[in-house]
Amino acid sequence: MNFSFKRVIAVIKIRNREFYRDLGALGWVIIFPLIMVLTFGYVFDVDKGGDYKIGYWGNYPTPEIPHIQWVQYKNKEEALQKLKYQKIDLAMTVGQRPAALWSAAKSARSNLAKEIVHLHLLPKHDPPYFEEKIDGKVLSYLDWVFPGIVNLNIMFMGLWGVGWVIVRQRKLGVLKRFKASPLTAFEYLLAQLLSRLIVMALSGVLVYALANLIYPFQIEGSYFQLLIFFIAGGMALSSVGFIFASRLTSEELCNGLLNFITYPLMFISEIWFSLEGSPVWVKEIAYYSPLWQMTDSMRKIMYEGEQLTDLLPSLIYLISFGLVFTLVGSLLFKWNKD
Amino acid sequence: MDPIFEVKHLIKSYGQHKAVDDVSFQIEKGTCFGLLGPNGAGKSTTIECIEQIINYTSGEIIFEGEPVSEKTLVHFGIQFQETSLPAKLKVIEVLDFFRELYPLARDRDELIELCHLNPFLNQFHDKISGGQRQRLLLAVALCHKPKFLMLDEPTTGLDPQARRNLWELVKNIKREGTTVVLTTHYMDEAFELCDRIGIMDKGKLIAEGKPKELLKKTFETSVIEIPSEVVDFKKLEEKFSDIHPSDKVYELTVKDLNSALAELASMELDLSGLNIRQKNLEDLFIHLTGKDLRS
Repeated sequence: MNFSFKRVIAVIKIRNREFYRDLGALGWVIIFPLIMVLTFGYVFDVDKGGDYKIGYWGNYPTPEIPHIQWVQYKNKEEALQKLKYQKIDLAMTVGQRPAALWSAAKSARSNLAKEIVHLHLLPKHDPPYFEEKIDGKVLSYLDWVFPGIVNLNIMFMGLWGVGWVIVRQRKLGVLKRFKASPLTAFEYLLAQLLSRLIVMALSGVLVYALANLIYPFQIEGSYFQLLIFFIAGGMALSSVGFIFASRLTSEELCNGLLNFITYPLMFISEIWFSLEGSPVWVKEIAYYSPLWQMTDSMRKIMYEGEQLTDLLPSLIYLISFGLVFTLVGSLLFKWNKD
Repeated sequence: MDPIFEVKHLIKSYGQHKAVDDVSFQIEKGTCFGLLGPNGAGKSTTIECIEQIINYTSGEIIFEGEPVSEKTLVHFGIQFQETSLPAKLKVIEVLDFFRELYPLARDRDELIELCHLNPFLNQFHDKISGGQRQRLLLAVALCHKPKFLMLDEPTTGLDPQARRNLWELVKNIKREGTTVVLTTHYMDEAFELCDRIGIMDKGKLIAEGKPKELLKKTFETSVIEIPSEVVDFKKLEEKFSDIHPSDKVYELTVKDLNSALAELASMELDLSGLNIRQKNLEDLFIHLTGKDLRS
């Protein structure tokens, strides 16, 4: 059967209708990343003056110190218990002389908090101080994690929105009905991919716009280049769904397999934390993850202003990955259980 | 007979089990061929092998003198027994979608008229009744004006009125010159719609021919049903050899109907509740397989 773009468009139309008429799914792709952004924004950015937390006890007024947030406890024991598990960065007496201070031995944050307290409260160091100011954009954790959250959503949309949907259609017999028409496996998969990319692009733009309203962030690079990586990454991640969906007929098994691949991908792709300091082999594995390539490139565009030309190897990798996996998926593809 | 369609020695095996076991039949252009049999007889598997939905183990399937291929499959239409349509679509959108899949689609209004879809055209397909759903699935099967249409148990689960509506649609389709294969386990349906029938059991085609000829060939008898309350069984046994006690009636199978009626009249019975019938396809199936068609 010859390739027909008319048939591809027909499948895209019905798939998109199914998506926008399913209010639950539509809401989730927008709401999920926004909830994550709001949560992380609140947890990490809401109190700009309280970056370091110091526990104290007793009813004494606490002095105003930049970057310090005071947390009151009933007694010394409770404060030291919190310090032990690094819920706070320091514990100290307030309103008593001589002042006493407890810090967490292996915590860098605790040491920094101690330095701030020394500077402002405890006997002054002898001058001269050495002070150096380094210009540069200060990235909050929310800034850093935001592209990861959006891309994580893209991964879920690709794997479940493509892979799981195909398995469900096979199980229900929708694919059997399609097989009795001139539609080919490649046309069907291509339509699934394009339909998903349209939804991903629109939801991505909307999530960026809404998140920017809530927590404005400055983007150094171009939005257009960001969109290109968004689409290339979405294509690569959706194509992974094709491999899983090529033959499975059980939604439960598909779910399990998708979870099996989602978690390692999420952890090695620098979504929640940096891989700086991780073993070399972890970084090498991460390099081959389309989620990592996509997230790393988008961070570089957003915060380092890198251009498409600088990131060309990543872009080529994502597009090649998507094409190869889509092709393999269509070769393995079966419409129905024989 | 000049067949438009032919199945030769079709076999479909699942390991040691043969779901379709050496089935052969021919169909003349513009006629309806009925495949009858109970659940699990192999009817749907035969249909799905013909449509190439599943691969068959061996045999030949020929349409218009050529082995069935991608080229010939465009002339086939099928209404599956078990299938689903893409979710969250209205009836009109389902029609438009399937019409777009074919290079030469039937006119939309013609299709709506043919399958009586107008009353529920703008409803979502998962909100319509069973009969309306079957009409929609029939429209989907017909959207490219196929020469050869396969209907796999299209009236199963429908109420009598919906079944008769569908029969009328199938008759109209036949009048257009479309060749039809129909699988069913309803005798009345096969008698009403099919020019020839094949009876399947355990994957084999155990009888094939025109319904009336098959009955005539197998049975040269009539059945007289007498209410059991009006006659003593022992008295009947004295006069008749083939008596079958059934639900509140005695069934007498007789070769010479006139003589049998004269005998009954001589017994001075109340014959007002008497019923005479010819053997039907249900009887034929029981005769051939020893079991009920819907078992």
